[in-house]
Amino acid sequence: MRRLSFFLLLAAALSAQQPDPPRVYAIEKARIVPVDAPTIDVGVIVLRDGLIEAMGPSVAIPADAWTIDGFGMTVYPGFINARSTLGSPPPRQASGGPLSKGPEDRPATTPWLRAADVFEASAENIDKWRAGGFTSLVVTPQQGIFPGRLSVLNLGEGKREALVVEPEVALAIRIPEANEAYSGYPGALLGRVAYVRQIFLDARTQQQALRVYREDPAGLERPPYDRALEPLIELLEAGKPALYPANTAIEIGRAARLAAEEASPKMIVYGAQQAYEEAAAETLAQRKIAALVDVSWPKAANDPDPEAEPSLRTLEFRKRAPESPAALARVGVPFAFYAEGANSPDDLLDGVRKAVEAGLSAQDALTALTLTPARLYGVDDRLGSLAAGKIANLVVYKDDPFEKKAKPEMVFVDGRRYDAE
Amino acid sequence: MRPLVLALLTAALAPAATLIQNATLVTVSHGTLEKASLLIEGGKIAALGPDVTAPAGATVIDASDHYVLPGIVDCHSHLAADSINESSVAVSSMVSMEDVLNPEDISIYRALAGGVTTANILHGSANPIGGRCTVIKMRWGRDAERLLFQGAKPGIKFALGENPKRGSKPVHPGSRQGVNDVIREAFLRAKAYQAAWKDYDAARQAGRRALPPRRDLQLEALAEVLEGKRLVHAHCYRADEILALIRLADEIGFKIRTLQHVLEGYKVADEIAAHGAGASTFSDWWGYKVEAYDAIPYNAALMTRRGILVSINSDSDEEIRHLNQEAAKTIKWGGLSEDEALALVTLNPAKQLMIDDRVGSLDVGKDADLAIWDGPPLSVYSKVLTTFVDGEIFFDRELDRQRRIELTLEKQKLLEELEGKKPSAEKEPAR
Repeated sequence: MRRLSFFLLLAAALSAQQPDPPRVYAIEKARIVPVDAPTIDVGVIVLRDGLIEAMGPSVAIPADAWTIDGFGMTVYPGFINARSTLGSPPPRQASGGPLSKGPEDRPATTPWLRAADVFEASAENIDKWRAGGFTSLVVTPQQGIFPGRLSVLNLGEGKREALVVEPEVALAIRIPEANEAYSGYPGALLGRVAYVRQIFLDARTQQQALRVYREDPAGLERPPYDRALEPLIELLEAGKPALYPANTAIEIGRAARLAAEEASPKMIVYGAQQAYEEAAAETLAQRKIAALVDVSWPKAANDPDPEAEPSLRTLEFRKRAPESPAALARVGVPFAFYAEGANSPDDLLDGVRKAVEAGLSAQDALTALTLTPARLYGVDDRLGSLAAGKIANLVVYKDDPFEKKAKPEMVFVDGRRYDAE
Repeated sequence: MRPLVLALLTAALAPAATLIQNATLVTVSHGTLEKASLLIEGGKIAALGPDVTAPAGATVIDASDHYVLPGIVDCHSHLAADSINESSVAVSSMVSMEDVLNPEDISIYRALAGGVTTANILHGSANPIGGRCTVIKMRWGRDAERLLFQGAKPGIKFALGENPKRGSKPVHPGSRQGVNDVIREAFLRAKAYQAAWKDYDAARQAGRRALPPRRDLQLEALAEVLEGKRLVHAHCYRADEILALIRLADEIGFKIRTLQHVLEGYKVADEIAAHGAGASTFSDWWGYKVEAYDAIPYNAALMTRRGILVSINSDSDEEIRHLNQEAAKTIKWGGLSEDEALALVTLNPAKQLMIDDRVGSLDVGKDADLAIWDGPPLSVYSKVLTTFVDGEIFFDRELDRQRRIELTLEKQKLLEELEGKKPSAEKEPAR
């Protein structure tokens, strides 16, 4: 399966200690699926120092490369989990905490936090996700209404700083069921939506006020310092998206309505499990809102009340939710995948397989695991597809990845090779 | 009932023109026309009278022995809402019922079965100044955006008495005086807010540099009240609190559009009439709390006779299905005429919501929001056969019977497929 060049063999033999992993690989005779370019039926991909150096049907294999025989295998960009809570501190459900008397008190609002700064995952968990074909996670903070910003991390090795690809790619918004670590306002769905609206209005006001003030502060009262607004203004100015929860058709309609308001940032909805309803998918398409689809599909409770019969609507939801990605693909809504509460990459990929069974093309499924999340988060210049100069995050399969129980043969993260056990 | 399927179904039921013929037309605005016809075109009432005929291609419905009543308008409802109270603050005018509409609430469909086509969806009564309210049409099967009654003035909920003063301290007031104080203080802030924007606009016009004031959703709604752009619907019971609010409104300079519940309105009817407020009350529901004790079933009739614009509302997903019967009670208790009684649930609430140019009576040019009843609408024996909104059928009793069978079968199929349950003969029809 692999063939070491004589030079490397010699180098390894001469080294008394554990050798450093090779810095140059060439996978030859493999099928290569770059995702954003035509598939190469038989070709070579060269990785050097963590990046893709070259790729094509007839690329010369560098003399210093560790060559891998890729015959019968397919090379894909590494998968991206578009919204993960791995290594992210869980929300504190406790009620109580400081009393918020209104939006001015900025309840449960910490948009300055970055998931990357508090990321703490065991090597075991990172290994598990990587072994399942995932090379990057977009990690979300999860405490409060504005928990912070999402970060893109590579599932490599070393200190957490070494994993960070981009520390802030999007703003997390949550509409919690109950007050988390505060009491008072907002105490209901009504107030939570109004609060999100108000804080973006405040960010726009502050943006304008600071512009006028910084031009020339003379004769003007200084705008009040507000830590919560600075990251929002940055987000608005950079054109980065905010992630807003919307699972059902009703919630999708509400999110679209909010997104259309003048002060709102660019929004991506997450959940989107009822996007199989034509009207919901159409709404997203018309308003140009992308979606992160939660592939932890709805199912009956583990121990339901035997007397309680679910409504037709609920049953229909359970049956049809996996049709949502195909419905989004039909109307041209960009979408990526994540799995709420998933403990393993298999949970997520099984969810994607169900979507494929429900009509999603394998190609669209692959794009949703690679290029689309990279684009949505503005890191497609580095991740999400195979091209010279991009980060060497690869997953290599013998079988069709969307077949049941398919496992990768090997995974590369930042050009480092990890073999299936 | 699956909204989308029904939406497709009803879309097919909206022909260019519909003629309802040989009916008794209860116009509410200009008497009752026997053996008359009503023509619906483009979602509006195009013609009505004894000699109206069907244009080519029109669907003709024969309504011999049947009655056509304008769609019932409920001035106080909480249906189709996923969240009712933002009770964490004493002034929650920043929140809006439009944000939480639930177009899949089965109560919409049930209201249609009671001949209701429009409702005022109110915030709850947990705070002296509650959230923003919205008027909807019962377009069952459409999304939330399409429930909205386009062009209807937005509203806001106020609340007096026991509900707003029993909230947690120190957020909420503890007495009726405190309730009034919260309202007064909020309006003083709203006036300062108006002034800040006025100053800013003036500075900008004069070419002076200035920092923009904050857009404050809480105060913006109250500024709209002061400018007459938003209607105040005030929950109240006792005569003293009603008078106190009227005095406060006069002092601050805003109008109360409707007093809601207003069970002691009969005691201060002249003062209510002088302020120009409408009254939206229950027919005969009281005694459920201390402040609701001193009520009488003559309330609606007495207030009507003193010149107040009165409506009868449901405030209930159950009662909304038989508001016709609630209206009928005022004939027994107070001797209103049939037209006056029917106006309490049609034209009068439409006037209170300032949508009477669109709905509330059978008149040429109004929206074709109406229902065909199988008997006189004030009778307890009468049922709605078909309900139209904008000329489209959104409820039909016969169609409903057929759909129940289909839905039961569909549900059974899904239960077997998803949960392995075997069919059972005794199951109730699917919901």
